Amino acid sequence: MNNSKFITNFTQLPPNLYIGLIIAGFVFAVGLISIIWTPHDITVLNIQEKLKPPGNKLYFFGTDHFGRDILSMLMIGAKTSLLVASCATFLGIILGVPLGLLAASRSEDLVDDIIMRGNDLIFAFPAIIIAILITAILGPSIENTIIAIGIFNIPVFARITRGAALPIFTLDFIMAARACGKNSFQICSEHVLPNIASILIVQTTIQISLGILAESGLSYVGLGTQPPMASWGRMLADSQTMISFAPHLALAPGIAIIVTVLSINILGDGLRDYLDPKLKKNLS
Amino acid sequence: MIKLLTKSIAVFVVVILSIAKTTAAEKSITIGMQLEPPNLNPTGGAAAAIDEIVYANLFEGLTRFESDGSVAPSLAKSWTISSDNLTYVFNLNENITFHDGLPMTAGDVKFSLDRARSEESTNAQKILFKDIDNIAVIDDLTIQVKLTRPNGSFISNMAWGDAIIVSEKSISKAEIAPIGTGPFKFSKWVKGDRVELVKNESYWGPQVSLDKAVFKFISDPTAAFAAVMAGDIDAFPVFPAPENLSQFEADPRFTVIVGSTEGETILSTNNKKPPFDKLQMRKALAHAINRQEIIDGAMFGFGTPIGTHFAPHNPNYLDLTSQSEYNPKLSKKLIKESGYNPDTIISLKLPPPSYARRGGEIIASQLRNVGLNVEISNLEWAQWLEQVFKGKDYNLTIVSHTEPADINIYARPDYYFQYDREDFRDIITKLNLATDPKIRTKYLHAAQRQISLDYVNGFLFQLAKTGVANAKIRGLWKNSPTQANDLTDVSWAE
Repeated sequence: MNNSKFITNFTQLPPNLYIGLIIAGFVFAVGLISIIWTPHDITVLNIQEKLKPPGNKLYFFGTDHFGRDILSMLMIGAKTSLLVASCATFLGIILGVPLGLLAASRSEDLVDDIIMRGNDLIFAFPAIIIAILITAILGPSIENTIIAIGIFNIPVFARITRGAALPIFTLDFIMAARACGKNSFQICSEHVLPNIASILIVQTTIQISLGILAESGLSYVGLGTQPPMASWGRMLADSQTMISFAPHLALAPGIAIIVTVLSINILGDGLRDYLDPKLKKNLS
Repeated sequence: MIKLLTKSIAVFVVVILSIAKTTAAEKSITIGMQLEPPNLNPTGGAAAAIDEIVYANLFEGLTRFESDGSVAPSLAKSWTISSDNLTYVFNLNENITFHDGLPMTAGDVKFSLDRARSEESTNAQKILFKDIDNIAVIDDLTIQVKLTRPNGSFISNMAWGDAIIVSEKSISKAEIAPIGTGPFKFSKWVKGDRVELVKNESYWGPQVSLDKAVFKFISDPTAAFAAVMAGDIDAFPVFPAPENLSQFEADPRFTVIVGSTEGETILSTNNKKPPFDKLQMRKALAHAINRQEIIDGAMFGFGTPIGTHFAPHNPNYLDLTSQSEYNPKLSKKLIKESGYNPDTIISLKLPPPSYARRGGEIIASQLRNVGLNVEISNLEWAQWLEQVFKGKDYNLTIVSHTEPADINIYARPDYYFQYDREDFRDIITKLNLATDPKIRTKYLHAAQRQISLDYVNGFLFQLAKTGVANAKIRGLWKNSPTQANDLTDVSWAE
């Protein structure tokens, strides 16, 4: 009984939700698998096997200029991208959402102004350039890449949280909760957050796909992931001079980035349609 | 109406074609370079890019290096050396003028050399002038240099780009508007893009065949490849991406010029910082390195393995590569014996050139293979100079030492690899005093052997000069005995 109900529900899901879920889930699974297994060890260079074209028996996507397996590097690159992007987004959520709630709950005094003007200040900087600056100062490493990208997620989440929470604070049930003696923290976590969760979830997918692009960009200029770890951005940078005779070196990470970002965006759209059908109707 | 239009188009095309034809009369050359020089004064800084523009083209010294590395007369047409090897008398060529029209005389030579060796001089190679005692002008065309002690390489010292002759009147402007005696005059410098030189019509020697020379700066290897392919660059003497050379080779429009340089590419090791303050660890390092793999992987096969800090094309070179043969087993054993703790992180700091970045990844993989815990960090040149070269805050780095005959840097205990050996300094002192070629050879061999036995650095390979040029260009240097793009003999084939 339960089972058949689940299936009917599944077919009613917006198609972009499960298309996005399948592709993004695949990339995520590949990244997870790379932690315990890759076809070849990418920290061992094998110069004799360098620049093998794709379709090789041993190396499905060929090898790079050091004889490393492209498939293995793509797998580890998936892990790097998702790890950096999700951690950076998480950083944005745990700092940005409380700030946004605080601003919304104190919307008539100075706290709101201070928080939101601070956000405006961060927004005034070009994100990727400041990220380059931060990693250049702190030194290139995965942790610093996460910090550099994460800092720009804070105002994004703060702003969207405040915007969504403000109308909720004016509703009667908040008044009722207050009358029951609940403090601000309880009100926010028990009444406001559940009501804005869908918006935050959709925003999370957008920030993750932006984070993947930012990580690729930083690694491309040499400030993100450091060798011997693989990253899609660094694979692109390394393959640049070889594009005319070994195009697969650039195509593989390029397609990986596009497919991943696209699938997460589709997933985000699907989630929005699923969690907030009203929003879609309003938009169309 | 249409007739008129077609007519005017036809006229336009003819005009364009005729303009194109006159400018294409092959009298100018565009040379590609990866780095832009910080200024154009070779007597004030170490940047190789300065000499790559001005050496022999714009500035000249008493003597000069030829394309094979031999020393030839330049401003001085001849010289005599006293029997005690202490007094040099140079006879200058007649009718030499600077580009501003002033005559070049013995007074300018005295000014230039005194300026280079003075206390406040910022010359990058002051050591070249160290043995000069005093300089006397005998007449306008004769100058006498007295040394404090014999110096067998004094004549070749005077051929360096750092020892060029300048005029007191114009030296203050040399950084942005250099005035020399060479066959080309400075024309303009478009910062960030190019330096233009034009023919010096009143040159004292034989006239050059080019009317104009443009040095264009393209740092990105991909852009450099596109510029050469499109014909915007006529020659790229040191092409930054060796992987593209096979494509140029296959194209009949281009010739690939592969020669030797003075660039010993080494895995510089901090000899005072643990764990490589121990000889045993440095020996283990040397045996962990597979040179051929680095040459194939980082340089696409261009480069000659070296076993010491000396250029293989030099007649005094000793092949000591067997001293540090690839032997990971021995390396592992030595590491175990020396008590290295695998948790100790070894920093490998890499400057931007591809030999360093790619070579670094290969070396890191080879060192991990024997159990060393290597951590790579990529640095820009400014950071590298600050952290590694000046701050000595590193374990390992990779860099190519492109100065000719520079084994004497190992005699400087405060140099960035911090090699401090009294007996090595003795060898260099004796070498500097010797003038007999046979005795010099003996000391040069001893010096090479000593640093090889002490495993001061990981000696990797001699950097090849991998250049590409339009197939119609004649007279470019094949080898690079000094940092230069000498255009005096360059011409276009008919």
